[in-house]
Amino acid sequence: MQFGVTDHIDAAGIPIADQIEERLRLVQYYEQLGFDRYMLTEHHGTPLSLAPSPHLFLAAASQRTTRIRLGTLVTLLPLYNPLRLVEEVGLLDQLTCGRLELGIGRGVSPVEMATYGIDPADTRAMFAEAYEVLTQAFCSDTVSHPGGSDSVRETMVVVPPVQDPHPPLWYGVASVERAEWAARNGINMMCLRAADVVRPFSDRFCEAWEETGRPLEERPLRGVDRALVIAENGDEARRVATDAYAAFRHSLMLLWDAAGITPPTTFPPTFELWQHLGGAFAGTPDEAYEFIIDQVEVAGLDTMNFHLAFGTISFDDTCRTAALFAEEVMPAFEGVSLGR
Amino acid sequence: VLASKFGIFDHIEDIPGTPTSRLFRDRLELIKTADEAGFAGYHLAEHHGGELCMAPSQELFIAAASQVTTQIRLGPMVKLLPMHHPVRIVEDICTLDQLTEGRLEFGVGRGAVPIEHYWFSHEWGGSRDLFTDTLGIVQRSLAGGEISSEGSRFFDFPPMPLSTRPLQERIPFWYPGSPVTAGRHGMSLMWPGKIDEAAHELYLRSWEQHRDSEIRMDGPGDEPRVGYSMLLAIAPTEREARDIAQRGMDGLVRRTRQSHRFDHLKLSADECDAAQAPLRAIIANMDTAVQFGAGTPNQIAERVAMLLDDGMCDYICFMFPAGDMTFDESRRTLDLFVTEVQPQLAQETAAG
Repeated sequence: MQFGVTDHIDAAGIPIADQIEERLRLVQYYEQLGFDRYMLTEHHGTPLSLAPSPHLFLAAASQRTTRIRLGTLVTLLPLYNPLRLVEEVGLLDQLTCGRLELGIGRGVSPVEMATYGIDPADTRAMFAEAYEVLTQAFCSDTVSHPGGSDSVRETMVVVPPVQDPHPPLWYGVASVERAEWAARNGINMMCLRAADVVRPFSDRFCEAWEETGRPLEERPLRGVDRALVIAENGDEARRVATDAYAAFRHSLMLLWDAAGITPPTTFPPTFELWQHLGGAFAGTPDEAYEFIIDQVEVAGLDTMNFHLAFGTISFDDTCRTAALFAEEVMPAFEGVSLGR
Repeated sequence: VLASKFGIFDHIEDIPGTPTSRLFRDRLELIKTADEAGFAGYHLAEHHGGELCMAPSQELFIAAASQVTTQIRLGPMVKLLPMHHPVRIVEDICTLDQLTEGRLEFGVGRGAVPIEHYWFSHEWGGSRDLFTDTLGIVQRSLAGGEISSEGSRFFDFPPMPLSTRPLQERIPFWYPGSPVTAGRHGMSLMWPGKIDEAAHELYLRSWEQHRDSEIRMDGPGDEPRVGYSMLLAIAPTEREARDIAQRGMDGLVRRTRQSHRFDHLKLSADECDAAQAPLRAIIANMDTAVQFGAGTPNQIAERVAMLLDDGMCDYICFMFPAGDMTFDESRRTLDLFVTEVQPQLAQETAAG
């Protein structure tokens, strides 16, 4: 079973350059501990992201690491000129020496999409176009334009990715339909919803893959994304998580609250409640093991991603979670393929 | 701000036979060496859709370079403003300045290759206005901490507070091209080779005359600065150096010509001809560039000293690797510059 880390690089209240450097050191530490991948989200106009250009942070991380896979969760396709996107994906896969994992999405926050002057009503079509340009470029090393409305673009040659035919793709799934779409297109799925809500997505994902007739061992991964804090003492873990969560939630909710809109994923007022709703976990290594087993069984998973650094959590506390997870939880899953 | 008077200006052209990921690794190693040798800056060009520039998203490469260097200043030369959304440009500036810990130098330009503009969905004809419009948005957002399209003719997005910001109080901006434009917007001027006095005067005058211009990238106390770019190939014998430099220019010219090969799909014959004026200038200057930029360490030291002594030059950006130079030839050029040319220049300065 694979384990990854998800990060927003949300404002922790320290100088930005210091926080960026801390996060780069954390990526190195995750690699050293044996995490499989590090994935960065993309956000705009909000303290939820101090690196609104996630590809740049990953390019930097590529020079500090050699093994851990580096990715986005997700790159907001409508915000990129599709040509620039194709160029960045190729270049980033080159700079990481074939370690890129590319999350793709249309952007769920209308406020963030508006920062680029984009009408939320257009994002589905923009996503579809960018996805088509991207997948076409993966096959041919040139760029085309859907619908053939502008043949000039076809003359543009791009640097291809190292990975053949292309870096693994990820998609944030929140419906059975999109689970099916992801599976049919060979895209890994990552979910934020509670495990029991994810189950039908996961089941449909497997069925849809089976319908493609492709071998089971090539099936893309099904994952969920959870906040995680571990300490030897469970109360200590819960205290750290509770303290750190306030600033994280503030950053998460800021734009939604200001616009008076409800986000599609609920982030309740306290960490305890969040844990109760199934989006997060704080406790001892043994409890964390039980939590993961339960998640895997209820949701039907091949992998999990964890938010280890969020809000005002300290560098040392994040390191402790990562180390305890790697030393006391991860070994139990070595070579285990639990997904059903 | 620049630690020494020397920098590198690079396209990251393809080197046939070298795998792309190796190309980048080699280049990062070269920048690391330049950093350790006290070079002040590394500047990367932007081109799309061909082997003239293998790292068309310069920011990604510069972000990578930021992690293998500690002192050298880094940035695009130039960022083609019309190709990119202003919010992305500003966010990239902020992220890069933080990643480099305040080492960003930002060159801006319009983009000399027409087809690149059409690839990015706008007209070549309107790109000058788009450049100025975008520069204004960038300037206002860096000054005010909020990015807004207010007053823009091309963009419409609501004001957005910047969640991140540059580390430097003021990012140094460069402009290679018209001295009047560079001066008008308070940007440092990058010039191909030695500047003539008339152009220099034009730059200084424009800088002064437009102090109240709406778009000024400089800040209080900033002075006009002129950088020269020149091809460089150093070898133990002049003959060998010339051979290397010649291959450098040949390759650069060939690829620049190639980059214009689709212009006719969108432009009339006259427009195509006009768009190739910069290419013709490069070709016209080719022999001079080879003769001046190629030499033994002694010869290069003399010529560089002469440039630095002309009273107008603040900075020299060397172009290597370029064109069909091999990586090893570029590597040796850097090594000879560091071990032989620089000490000789330092000695002359001390003696003079």
